[in-house]
Amino acid sequence: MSENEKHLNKIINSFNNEDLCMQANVSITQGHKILVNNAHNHFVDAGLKQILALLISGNMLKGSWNVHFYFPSYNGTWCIYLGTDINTATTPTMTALTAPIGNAPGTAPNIKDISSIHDGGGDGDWYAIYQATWNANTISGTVGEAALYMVDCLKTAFRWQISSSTQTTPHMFSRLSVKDGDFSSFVIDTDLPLTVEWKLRFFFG
Amino acid sequence: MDHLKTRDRIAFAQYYDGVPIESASERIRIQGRVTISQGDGEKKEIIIDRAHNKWVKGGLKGLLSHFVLSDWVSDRQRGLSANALSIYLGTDTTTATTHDLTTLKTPIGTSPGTDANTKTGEGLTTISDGHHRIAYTAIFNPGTVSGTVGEVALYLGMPQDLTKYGVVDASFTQVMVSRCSVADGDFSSFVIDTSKSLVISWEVFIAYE
Repeated sequence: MSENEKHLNKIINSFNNEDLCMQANVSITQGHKILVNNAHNHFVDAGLKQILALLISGNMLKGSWNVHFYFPSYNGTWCIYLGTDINTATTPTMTALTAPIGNAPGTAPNIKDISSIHDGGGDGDWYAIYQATWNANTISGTVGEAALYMVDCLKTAFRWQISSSTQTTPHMFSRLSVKDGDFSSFVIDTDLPLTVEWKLRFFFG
Repeated sequence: MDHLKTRDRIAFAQYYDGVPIESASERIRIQGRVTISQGDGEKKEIIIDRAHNKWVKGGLKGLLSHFVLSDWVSDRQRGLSANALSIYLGTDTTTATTHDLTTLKTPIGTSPGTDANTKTGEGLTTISDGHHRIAYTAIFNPGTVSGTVGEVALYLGMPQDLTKYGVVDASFTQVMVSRCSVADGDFSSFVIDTSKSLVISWEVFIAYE
């Protein structure tokens, strides 16, 4: 390989594939109406630390009975909640919606599913779509924020070990808000089901 | 912040599903930096100083697997990611890193390569709000490896299973997650001094862009 080719490769790599990026796109629909179209969420610290915790994980030790390490989506335990706040921007240390609709952390959807999982081996775009639907008349109000909650295991020691099962309680992973300029607030039409799609992506960037 | 060069901070406009991705505050960037030195104490020579690695699909598939699987269960000891840590060296100087690369092109030693004598690391530290670091270290004792180094790769144990709510019960398989190479322009090839130890530090930073 010539020096010119090496230099060209370096330039190409600086634009394309040196780093690994995580991003999420959020869409909200009611009936045929698209209320939020591929808005970009804001991750909070639990999202960042979750990834590094995985990369430094060490061992699951033998327990007296089965030991479980619960992944972020654990058997559908992940959740999406809605809130009404329109004045609070997302910060890395934020751990909950500011004004959830329903009792904290919020009113859970009636239906949850990972509706799509895309293997990016061909196009370099790896993603999963978390889809939540509230039936008609189950949630109401003016939406100003939304959040994805996932199970986390925020251990920080290199080669951390577990000898008993990890926790299954989900925590806020990322947030979408009017205050961040992600979308315009809207009033829920209680006559129609409301669906949120949270597309979590990993790609070279 | 000295590990962040100017080019790393630039967010180029991209499009996804027809929507422009322009803001620099809405995604997370994960970077790997590789430092290689030989010798100890005052005689320590830094051969490569925080070269920028390239991630490959094994790393991305591992992360996505993490987010779609359900749980990992066992009644016996199993190894997770850093338990399967290895950093291997190779001699290739002509093959640039592509997303689908799964091994070093020409490893030193039997494939996947000669393993280091010592493999350790550092836990999560917070550099600043929303900016965190971990690190892996491999030490090859004098005479353990020899040759001209043109590529180096980080291997970790990673799930490679995209089954929705799948359950895992075996140790994570070791896969190549990133690579640093002469062909990519990351560093200049060098000959290992077999009279000295060789130390590789692989730092991983995660931050809001």
